[in-house]
Amino acid sequence: MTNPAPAPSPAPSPSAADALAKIVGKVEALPTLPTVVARISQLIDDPGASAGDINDIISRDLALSAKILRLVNSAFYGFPRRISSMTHAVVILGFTTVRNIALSAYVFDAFDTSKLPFGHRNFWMHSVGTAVGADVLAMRAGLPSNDDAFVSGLLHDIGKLVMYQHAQAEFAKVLTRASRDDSTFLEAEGAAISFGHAEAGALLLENWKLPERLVAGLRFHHDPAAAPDEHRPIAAVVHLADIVTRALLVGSGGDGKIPVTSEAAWQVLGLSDADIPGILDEYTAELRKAGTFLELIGEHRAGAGAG
Amino acid sequence: MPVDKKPAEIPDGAVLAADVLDSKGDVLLAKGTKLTRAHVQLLERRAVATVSVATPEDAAGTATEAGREQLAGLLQQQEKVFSKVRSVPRMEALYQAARSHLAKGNLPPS
Repeated sequence: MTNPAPAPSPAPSPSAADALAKIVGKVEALPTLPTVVARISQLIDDPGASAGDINDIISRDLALSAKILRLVNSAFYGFPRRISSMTHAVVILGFTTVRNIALSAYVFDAFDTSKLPFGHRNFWMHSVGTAVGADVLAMRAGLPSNDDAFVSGLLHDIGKLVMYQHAQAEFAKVLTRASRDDSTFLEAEGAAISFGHAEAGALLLENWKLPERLVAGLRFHHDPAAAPDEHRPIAAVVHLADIVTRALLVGSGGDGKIPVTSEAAWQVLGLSDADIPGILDEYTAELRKAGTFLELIGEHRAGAGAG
Repeated sequence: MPVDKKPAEIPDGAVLAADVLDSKGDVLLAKGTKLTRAHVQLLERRAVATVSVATPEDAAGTATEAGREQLAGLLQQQEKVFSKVRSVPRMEALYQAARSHLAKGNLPPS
């Protein structure tokens, strides 16, 4: 029996790179990272920054602060006592986790997905499912930061939204092709247009100046073997989490299909077929605790944009 | 049938038959959670007296007719999702595990 190789992310040709640059070059049209999240990102690299500094920044955005505290106090994080202030959250969770939660709280409103052809809720459900799966797999594999894996999983398909809003003709071609050929979104991209959603999403995250590790988890989620050595584990967890999410029919990636897993992903995480039932059990248990993320999807404001 | 158990008496693999709420009324553990040792420790730390649990077999057996119809539709959808990749041994293993997982009543959120 011959194993079909997983379809690789299409490497951008010079013309594809131009097309992508045009999309991502529309900086004024793309969602921008809110000042709050951008400032937290800067403070992560500042050895003199304190929890109070983060509190000062986040407190300026009351809506975001409220969402962050809802997420921090949700069953997903499972803290034994209620966390009532941002300073307390930062002390317990650390700067990076708070930045990631702020990003998660923000991202549902960053794009207007109310008219997305395969459904706003389906898209975000698939994204939350992949985030939860990445978290579970990162814990199993002993990755140093499973919440980086969570955020990378949450954002893994955000390039589809970039295409949906800023390359509508190409996006429509891909959906038509996937439906006609009964293929995955990724295969249809390779057949119909000159660039892929993984690259489009990675360029957006670079534009947001997010850490290379998060960007790599997203850029290589269809081809973890191509990731640089240091980022291959996060790319592998996002890759497998996407596929587990499809296997369990959580939301939709826009195609109703499942790609073949990369053998490199299993190897780099030290996983085998025997691990699959346990992974599925942990995935479902964690997804059930992620109800607050699913509530935020429901609260998405049509037409909301970032500022 | 679900039964009330003290955390120390919860058997491995038992499934929560009802949400466990904390003192604020927030969900601490959701209905359907397959309980692990870590969950039991959490319940003990939070001084939860008893929880309603069912064995996985009980949980599957209490599905309503509507639930069975929904499950049949999902299994059909899952077969379609995997239709082009089951010749790959790894994907067949994933398919069988995912099918069994759904059949135990682990349905995706709607």
